[in-house]
Amino acid sequence: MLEERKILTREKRTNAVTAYQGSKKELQAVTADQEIQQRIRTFSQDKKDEVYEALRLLSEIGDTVVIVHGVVGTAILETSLIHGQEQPIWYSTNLDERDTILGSDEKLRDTVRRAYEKHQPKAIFILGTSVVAINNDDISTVILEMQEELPVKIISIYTDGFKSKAEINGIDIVLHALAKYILAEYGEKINIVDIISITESRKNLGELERLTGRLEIKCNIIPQFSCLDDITKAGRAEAAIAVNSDEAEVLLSGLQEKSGVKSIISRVPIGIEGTAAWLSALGDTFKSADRAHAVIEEEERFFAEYLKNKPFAGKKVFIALPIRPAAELALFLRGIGFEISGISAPYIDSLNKDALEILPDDLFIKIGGGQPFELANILGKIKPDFYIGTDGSAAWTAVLGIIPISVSQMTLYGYKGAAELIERLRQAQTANEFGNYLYKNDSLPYKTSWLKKSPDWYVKLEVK
Amino acid sequence: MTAEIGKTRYGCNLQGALSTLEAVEAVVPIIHGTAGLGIQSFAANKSGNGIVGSINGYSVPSTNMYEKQIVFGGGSRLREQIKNTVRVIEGQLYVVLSGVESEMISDDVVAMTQEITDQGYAAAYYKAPGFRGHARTGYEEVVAVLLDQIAGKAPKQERETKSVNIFGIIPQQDLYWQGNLREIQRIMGSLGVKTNRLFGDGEDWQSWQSVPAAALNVVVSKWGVKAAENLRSTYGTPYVFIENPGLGPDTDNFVEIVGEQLGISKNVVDNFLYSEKKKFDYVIRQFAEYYYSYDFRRKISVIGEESKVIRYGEFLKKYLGMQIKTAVITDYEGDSQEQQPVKSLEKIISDIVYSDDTERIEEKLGPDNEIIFGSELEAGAAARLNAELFVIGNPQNRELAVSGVDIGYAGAIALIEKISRIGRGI
Repeated sequence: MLEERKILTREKRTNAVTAYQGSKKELQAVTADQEIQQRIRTFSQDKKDEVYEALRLLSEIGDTVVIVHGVVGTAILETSLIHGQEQPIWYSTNLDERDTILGSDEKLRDTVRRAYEKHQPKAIFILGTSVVAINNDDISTVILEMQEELPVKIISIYTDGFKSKAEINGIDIVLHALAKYILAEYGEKINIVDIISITESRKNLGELERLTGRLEIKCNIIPQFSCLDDITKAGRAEAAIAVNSDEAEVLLSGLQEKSGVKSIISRVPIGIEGTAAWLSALGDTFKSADRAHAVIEEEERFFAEYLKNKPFAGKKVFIALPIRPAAELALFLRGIGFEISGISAPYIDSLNKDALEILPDDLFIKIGGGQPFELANILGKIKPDFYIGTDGSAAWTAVLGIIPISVSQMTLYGYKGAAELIERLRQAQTANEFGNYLYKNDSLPYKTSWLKKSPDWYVKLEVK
Repeated sequence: MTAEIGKTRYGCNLQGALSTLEAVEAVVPIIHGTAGLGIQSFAANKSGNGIVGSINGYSVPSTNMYEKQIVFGGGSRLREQIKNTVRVIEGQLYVVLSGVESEMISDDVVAMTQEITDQGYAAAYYKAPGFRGHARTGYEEVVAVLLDQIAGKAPKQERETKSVNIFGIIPQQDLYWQGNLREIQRIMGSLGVKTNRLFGDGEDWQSWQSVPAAALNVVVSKWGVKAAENLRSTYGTPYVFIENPGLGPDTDNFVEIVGEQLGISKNVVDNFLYSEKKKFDYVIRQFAEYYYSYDFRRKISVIGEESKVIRYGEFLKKYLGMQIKTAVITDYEGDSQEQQPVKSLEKIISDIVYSDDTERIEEKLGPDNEIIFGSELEAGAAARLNAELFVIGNPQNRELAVSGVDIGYAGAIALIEKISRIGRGI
């Protein structure tokens, strides 16, 4: 994989599907084929793209600079990632019409030079966008030349925003670049584990670090919230484990390929079973299976009462998260009494479809990032009590009389996450005044005639 | 030719147009381009100045163009999207915004929009590629599109002698756009004048129909001049462009000019301004103790949009005795080296710089600054200069700025309230 200059898109590499509605069983049938007959949306709403995901992830890596090579608006996400003085460093090549006609290589050169002189970073990432991709601007030559001039790694991130419909593709491209150009080769191993985190919040990683600590295993969390050196040295680790293996797959493979770092394949550490599986997998690899067993037993005691009493029996919940965490969360929520009304996930492919196995055959699943118009239709019909989603896409469900839980800012992973989620759900149920106000006073912009239609009305088989 | 920018603070043309349309209820934007540009804008807006309207972020219709359409053309995908948008989303007007990709491959946005117009829907388009213009262009041009939609279509109406439209406050770009529009409305209301804010709560496409009926267009930043010119040539409506609508007593000039244009009796205007000044003086008296305890005769720099820099600059110097070391204007057209500052600003500030590049701005700020009036992007500069940061513009990620105001007497009082914390080490 690392010999290739670019990584293939998720559609080509892993048969990713980004548009589907129906039962889990049908979805399994759809994704079982070698050549998948893709579906498309004939009406769609805006969603994250690969440029968004790549830019967000790169901005969380310390000692680096990102140059967004495109129009100024493709970098504006960054203003949402600043926290006081803690700010990522970014540049926009700010392409104008003249640049799109005459080419933008000189501007890119100037920006690289400026970024280096100002910050002396350990790496400069050049993030591609649609304008440069359509114009076929030559980024590689600029990098080759600048690489001779400046003592810094200059790395092209081959995003374009249109070759793949799965935003996760942006993560793959970043991880491929990190594996290919940043990871150093190591023969000797030290007794630590690389934890690969792509989208989990700091709070979640805090909990996973706590649990790894209880197993007395040292960890190196990359690439989110790490420094470039932490990534460079990741090859020294005995083994690597992802929080969500399909998001992290490219880096896991890279570590294996470059330095023989063993990949520990595990379920996502959400809920009691998922967390136990994750810790056991770690324990087995690091010869501390007994310790893992003891920790799991001790931590699980807290939940015995909930699992026995099922405090949420009779309640329905809809989950909107990527499929691995969604499936694991569904399993946990069923354990405490919930009925799962459905799942919405941005994509499904050969790297994550096994997660479907633990779900009931007739469970409703919607595939595709965003698309609240479909969700409004679906939720209006199945009327769940709770909706568990992420920032930007949960609040609006309150208008339908559903209780939204946005997990983006809370701990969801590990035992602490499970306990926090139970607490949130209880609180949300008893203190829904805000939601009730929205329900009574706000409305959604969708036409009644649409809400009465079948929710998959605009999902069609693609005509080739 | 544009230069690269270190730590950008503004979105692009399309995002400026989108943020403008989102602030008019029942107007539905339809993006024709690749996914994600609107979501970036949504994330940026969420960081502080709200997410307005019922169509924003993930709910904005978008063709989410992908490779096949970029290679073979996206016209038919756009046709399908427009046709289905009117079936799914309630709207009084649908506006297609075509982005970088569709403009580079020359999709026929005009014909596709015409098709739905022919079916009886109110629809318009704006070619908004991010490489042409900037976020302010998006506001200026999409306002022009909305005005063109009214021309010849709005029902004939009598001109209302005491009514104004406000232009030049850019929704979601000006951190305090909602509060500022309301403050102008409050001031006008006190003179018996009706105000069309045109953006924000209760302002929908219907509100825009009464634009031609206004007696006067009031422009409070250079970005509103085009709209006022357009309305003058279409309807003969006069306009006033007031560079400094003021903070505190500086507001008087603005109110007097508008009052005179609308034939409001001088008595009414004077009485109103007198009562406003009484309120302001009551606040100033309370602030005096803090002013001298913490000594507010500080050396400062002001960074922001031109209209903001003028308002803050004049007020902070004339009333609080602050010494302005540098003013940085972040919104301008063309080359930053060839800008001509407005005269009133030149009188009070000798060092006026034009830049929207955060790193370049930082380089311009001298070591003796004690307070930096700017955005969150100036946090690093303020820390290095050991100066206080006072956030007056975007990006801002401290609070949801829905009632914040920095115009008029209300703006001055709010500013004094906020600024009083400085010096107390909290």
